[in-house]
Amino acid sequence: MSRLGLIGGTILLFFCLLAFFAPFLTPYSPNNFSGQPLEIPSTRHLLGTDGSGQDIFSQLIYGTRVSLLIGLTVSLFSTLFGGVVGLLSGFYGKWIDRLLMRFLDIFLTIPHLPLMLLLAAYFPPALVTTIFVLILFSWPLEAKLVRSQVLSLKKREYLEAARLAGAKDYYLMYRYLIPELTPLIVSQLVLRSSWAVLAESGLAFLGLGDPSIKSWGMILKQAISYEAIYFTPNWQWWLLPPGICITLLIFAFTFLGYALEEKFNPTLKEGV
Amino acid sequence: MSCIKKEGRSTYLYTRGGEYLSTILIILCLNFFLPRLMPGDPFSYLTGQNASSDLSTTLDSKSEAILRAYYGVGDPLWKQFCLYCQNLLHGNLGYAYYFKAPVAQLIAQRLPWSLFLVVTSILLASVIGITAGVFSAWKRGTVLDRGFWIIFLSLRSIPTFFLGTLLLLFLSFQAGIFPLFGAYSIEKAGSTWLVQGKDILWHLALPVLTLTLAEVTGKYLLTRSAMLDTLEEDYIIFARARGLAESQIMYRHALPNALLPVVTQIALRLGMAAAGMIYVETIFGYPGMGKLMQEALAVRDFSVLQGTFLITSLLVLASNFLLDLFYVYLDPRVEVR
Repeated sequence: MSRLGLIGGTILLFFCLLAFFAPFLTPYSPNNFSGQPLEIPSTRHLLGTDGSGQDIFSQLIYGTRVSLLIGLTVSLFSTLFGGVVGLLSGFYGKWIDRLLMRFLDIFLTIPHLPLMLLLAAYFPPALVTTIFVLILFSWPLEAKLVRSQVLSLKKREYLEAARLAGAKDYYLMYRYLIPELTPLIVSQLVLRSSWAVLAESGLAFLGLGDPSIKSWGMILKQAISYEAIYFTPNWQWWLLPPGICITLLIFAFTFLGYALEEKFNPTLKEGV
Repeated sequence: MSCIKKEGRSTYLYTRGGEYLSTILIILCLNFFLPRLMPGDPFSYLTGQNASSDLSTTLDSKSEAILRAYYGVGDPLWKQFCLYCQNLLHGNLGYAYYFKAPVAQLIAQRLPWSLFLVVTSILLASVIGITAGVFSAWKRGTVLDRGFWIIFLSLRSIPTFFLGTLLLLFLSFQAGIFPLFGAYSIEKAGSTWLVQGKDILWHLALPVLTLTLAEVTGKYLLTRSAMLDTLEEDYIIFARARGLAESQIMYRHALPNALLPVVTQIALRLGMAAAGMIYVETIFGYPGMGKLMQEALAVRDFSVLQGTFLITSLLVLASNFLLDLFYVYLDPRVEVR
């Protein structure tokens, strides 16, 4: 198990390095018209060019930045917001908690992607729109997880003892609850990033994204929009690489996330 | 005793019914307020004043008149809401200004294909996922269990739209085994129903395969964890103490009890299957609701986006409600949570 986590971590590190050193690794800017349309791979264009003559290799490397940026931003904000709501709701209970639970039940039954499409269609296609919509649709799940964890932690005796000794609410949360919640939050950050990367590429694939920001999903969408893609050999270097990159990154996040969960939380059953 | 039990059940149903009603109300409000709260009015998106409509959908005067009447432009908000509900009750979901047809009619044409696709895939994914999950829990900790777990999680790492694209590329375009596009061949329209039926199934194969693969991991993980929980129960230990065969313990004692939470979860996640449906239908050009949503998105036809969202939500809710009804009679322990 930890071996798989290690593999995941290594892949993730590799992508982080790619993202960081993107300007040094790429021969062109991803939006430069650096060649003829639909060139085959050569030493000038390692993965050929796309339908408008832009270098696919450069797009791919810069795409790493977009995907990681989205994963990081979405998971940070949704975990932060969801975590605070979940903590307060679980800790104080009463009507806030009931309201949150009712909201969550409703939220979970509504089909998400159709609503996301409806919502995002009202805004101009931009990276900010995608990030906003993804945060909007992920914080409730974080709140739910943190809340249930807080509920079980609240019953612990040392917490009651500290309260009897005169500890205030914020002290209990800060001193006892938040440290106990950290493992859950860390593994959740990783799994949420994986979800965000997948969701972003899906939205881009369906046409909700800024066409000038070449995320992996956007490259894939542009490859498929080129009508003869399946009949020409271009799919090998235009369509496959972005798809493989998304798959590898999700794979890395998934196994790293599960490995962290297992490591921090030995009582947890594997794969739950 | 039985009287009390019955009362508990009906309270449960009333509570759940109330929850469903409030969910429907929230969906209606979303649909009603979204176009009205957005910057500008619903029409500014179509006349090209808005940044997002470089998509040049032009609104002719006939469509505009129909839309103005439908939205009740100029009336106070509460009157607009009454009008909206009244329209819905008459089955009027608005007018699709790009497709030049009533939204309800468009959806009615597309819905059967989607139901066909989604129901088949969910059933297949459930059968495969549950069987593999039971097997994995049975052989827990062994190489087989590990292998299953890794394979299913790796499978989920492939985005649905990429998986579908690969299948289409290799099996349809390269190998030529499956059709390239659509749900049926037009040239077979006059043939016998047997030929047509075969043709339809042949077109359905790859979309169903993709959606099944997309849905199966969730079911596998759910079943595995529910089984692992159930296997710790006392009656399982007792069954083992009685010397029953392991297969009998798994299928006769553990599975029926583990299955209830699994089925609830599957129903709860039906909304997620809508996502897979949109991707799969887009890739394979399958003429269902998902394809309709993607087409409407490309031309920013908001009436269609709203109508499809409403119908998809109502279908998910309805199937959840049906399942709740069954659940009450299946499991005597059901109470209000």
